[in-house]
Amino acid sequence: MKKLLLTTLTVFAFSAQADYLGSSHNWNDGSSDPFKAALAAAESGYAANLKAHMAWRDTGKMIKEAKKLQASGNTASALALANKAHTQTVNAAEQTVGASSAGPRF
Amino acid sequence: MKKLITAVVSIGLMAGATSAIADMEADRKAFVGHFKSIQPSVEFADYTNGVYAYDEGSRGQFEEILDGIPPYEEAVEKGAAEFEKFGLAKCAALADPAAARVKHPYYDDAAGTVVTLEGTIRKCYNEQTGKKMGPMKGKVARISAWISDQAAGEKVNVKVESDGAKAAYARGKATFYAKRGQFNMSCADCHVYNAGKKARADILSPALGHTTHVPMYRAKWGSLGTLHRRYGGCYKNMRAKPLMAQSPEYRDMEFFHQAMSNGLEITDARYRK
Repeated sequence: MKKLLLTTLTVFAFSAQADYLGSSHNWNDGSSDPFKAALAAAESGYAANLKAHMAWRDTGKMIKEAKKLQASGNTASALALANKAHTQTVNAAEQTVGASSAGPRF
Repeated sequence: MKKLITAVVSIGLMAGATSAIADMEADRKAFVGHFKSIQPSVEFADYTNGVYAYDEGSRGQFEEILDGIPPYEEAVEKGAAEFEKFGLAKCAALADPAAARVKHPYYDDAAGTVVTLEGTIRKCYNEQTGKKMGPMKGKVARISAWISDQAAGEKVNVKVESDGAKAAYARGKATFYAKRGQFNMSCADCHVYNAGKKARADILSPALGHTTHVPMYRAKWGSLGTLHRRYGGCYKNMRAKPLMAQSPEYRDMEFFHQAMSNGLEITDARYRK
């Protein structure tokens, strides 16, 4: 019983950690790719903004540009741009909250 | 008992319909009242001239352009020829062009959507020619301008009666007042609260009367364009991603936007800077 409990808890701890680290975690060398994480956050946020018709004008371009920079080896700039795009999606999501009930101030 | 139930239901339905109209009418009165409060000297009827109701200098230039040959005249004539050429009069919805302009936009209860004049033109063109028509400029704007010219002098009269229409109107209103884009601004921020003030070298036009002269000729475009083309431009200016012209969201917004100009004359003076 004790062994079963220990095994269950160990499996649970590993799976929870795997979920937490996400797809940007490299399980071979134990490192995480911050660019991948930032890009994934920006892309999912942008998709949600588009669905709500509240996307910002340049977010899509920033995501594309970040991918190009990463491909050309300019990782630092790529990461900075992906983070900037993600921030835009967060701000757009905040605008979405009150959008459907917006009305005049007079 | 049956009669009583019928009477109660009828009264309920009538009250519902009346409240839908009352909502729009109350909104419109508040909207017009706001413009009266920020520009007390401008007459309601003059809002059909848009920004030229506010600025004498610009008004002079506007009138000079209209006194000569307006730069869109040829395009509107082409629109008349295209209306004929493509057999658009064969579509019942466009058979009487003046009536079509006054009727649109309206809420189609059967389809559950707002129908715009440009939407009807595109649908009819497709039925007559089997081809598709773009939604923002070119043919659609020229034909729509010619149709609108036939209704010059008649009054905007958008009706918001059914529950579906009321919901579309409410969605359009929310889109108009919602802040969006990197500048965190709504349509109303420029064209309601700050109408008449300057944004760089330009005077912000009042939303009241915006729809009386559409499609418009803009000097910046050098051509005619539909209201939805302008919506797209405004979205871009606010650094928001524009929606597709004739998307349900823009159609709902047009429904609200036109309703706010109820009572103003439709004009063929469609020049804008």
